[in-house]
Amino acid sequence: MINNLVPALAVRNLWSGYGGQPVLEAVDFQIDRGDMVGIIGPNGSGKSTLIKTVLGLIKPMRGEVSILGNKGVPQRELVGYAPQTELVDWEFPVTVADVALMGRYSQRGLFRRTTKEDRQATDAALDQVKMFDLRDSLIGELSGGQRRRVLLARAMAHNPELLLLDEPMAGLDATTQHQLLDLLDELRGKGTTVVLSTHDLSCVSSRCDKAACLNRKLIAFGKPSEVLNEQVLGDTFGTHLLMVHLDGQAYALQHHTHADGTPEIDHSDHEHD
Amino acid sequence: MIDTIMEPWEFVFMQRALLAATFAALVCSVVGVFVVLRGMAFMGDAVAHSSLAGMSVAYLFGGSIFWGAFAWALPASLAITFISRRANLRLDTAIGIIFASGFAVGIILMSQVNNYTADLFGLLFGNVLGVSWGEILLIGLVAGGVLLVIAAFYKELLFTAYDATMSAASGIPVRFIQYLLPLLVGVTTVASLKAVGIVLVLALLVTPAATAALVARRLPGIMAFSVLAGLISTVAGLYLSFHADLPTGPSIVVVASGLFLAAMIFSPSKGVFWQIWHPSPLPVEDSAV
Repeated sequence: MINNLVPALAVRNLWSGYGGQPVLEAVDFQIDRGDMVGIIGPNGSGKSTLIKTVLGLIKPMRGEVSILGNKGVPQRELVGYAPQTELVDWEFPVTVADVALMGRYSQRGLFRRTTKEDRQATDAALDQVKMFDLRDSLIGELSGGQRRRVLLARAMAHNPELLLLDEPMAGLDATTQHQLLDLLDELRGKGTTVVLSTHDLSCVSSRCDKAACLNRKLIAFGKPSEVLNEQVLGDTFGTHLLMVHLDGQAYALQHHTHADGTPEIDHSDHEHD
Repeated sequence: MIDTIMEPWEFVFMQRALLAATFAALVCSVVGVFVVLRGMAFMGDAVAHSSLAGMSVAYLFGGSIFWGAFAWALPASLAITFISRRANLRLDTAIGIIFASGFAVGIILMSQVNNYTADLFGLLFGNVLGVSWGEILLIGLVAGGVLLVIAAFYKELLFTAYDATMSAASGIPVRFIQYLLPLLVGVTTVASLKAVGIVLVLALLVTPAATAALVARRLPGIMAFSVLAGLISTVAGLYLSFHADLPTGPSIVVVASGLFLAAMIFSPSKGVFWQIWHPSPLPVEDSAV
């Protein structure tokens, strides 16, 4: 039904922002089906704005987004989304299974109860992220890595073609990050297109098919080995950056200003509704 | 013993009080769960206080105090949401404005009545023993209506309360729900004014739900326990009021508070006793998932 040559996500001359102020300017790229793409950029560079525009939460000021060739109206059946964990209320009295089931709500209209089919799909998604055994745990009892996987299960519960993950690596240790990336690899193997935003350059360079370097404009888009060079990273991260050269590859370390060592959270896009 | 249990219900005014207070407690306990989860306690309080203006107008012109409160509560709860969304004010600021302005207008209007303190007292602290069959019918209809709306929008209310961004991405009409919930809270407080009065509505709204949150884990369980706590408070409060000759609304609230205290102390996993005997271990990040 879906032509393999149609890009999973095509963004054409996209201008998007809040209250008439553009955050994204003339962003233009397309993502092939089954690719894993990392969007990198500093805080305030528009990573979340881009994701929210693709989701249809923000109307583009100019340009267009098409998902598997479908333009305009939000393509809810085709897209799965996991927000930053910092934006989720982890004290809320719901279980792992409850949260994953929410991923099926878009399939059910108002007033409709969820069905057995919904619960089966939810269980399959939880199984895939290896959270099935914890399905009756309260979400507040989970570790950081487990929380990430619950949100992933929720995003996957309606079997979307395109997964949009906002900062899925933030706050995870290296082992947990790689377990999550292995999981995303598995999904990609089944034909799902994965787009994730991150601060973590090494994840993108070692695990993603494509890198999108964003700082309000798209600085570069392409294979990590080709685009992650000193010039591009300098343009993307500006001056808050420490360049490290390792094995002929340029790495950028972001300069964190927090003295207490708390991880950086991209709040910049979330002040607006 | 049998007399102690049966005696109050020989009086028709006690039967009416039981019905009115039960309806109020039922709807408050269910709505209260969302109020506690979303931190909306003082929104309900503000709507109740500001309704004094509507009640006073109705009182002065000899109309139904219930409809006066109702007519004021709807725009007041919408105004709180609107002010906080549009004027970029914090929610508690919007609440403060609505709270005080309606209450002030109400006091001014009531002061025009000769000997107004006695009547004002009834509005502020409730007068469930004086409730009429007509009012009971209204309270029952409003409570039933609110519960029906919650049943219809349960999954949308749950999802939006938990994660508004993701709800919007799923196509749930988040803005509608964000106006609907305060509206339900406002209507609920009006239905409860007769039972406990303006000042104590807040207790009926949050105390049973907070008690339940200490006892149950998941949302459906919390709702069930909240209703149970609300109903126990109502019945026990009426007994207390009848036998000890105490004001009814405050008696109900005192029982509800007692239940909360008991849950606070004895709750499995969240109670004080449990935490003394089972100090919570430091959260461990599992890397071997």
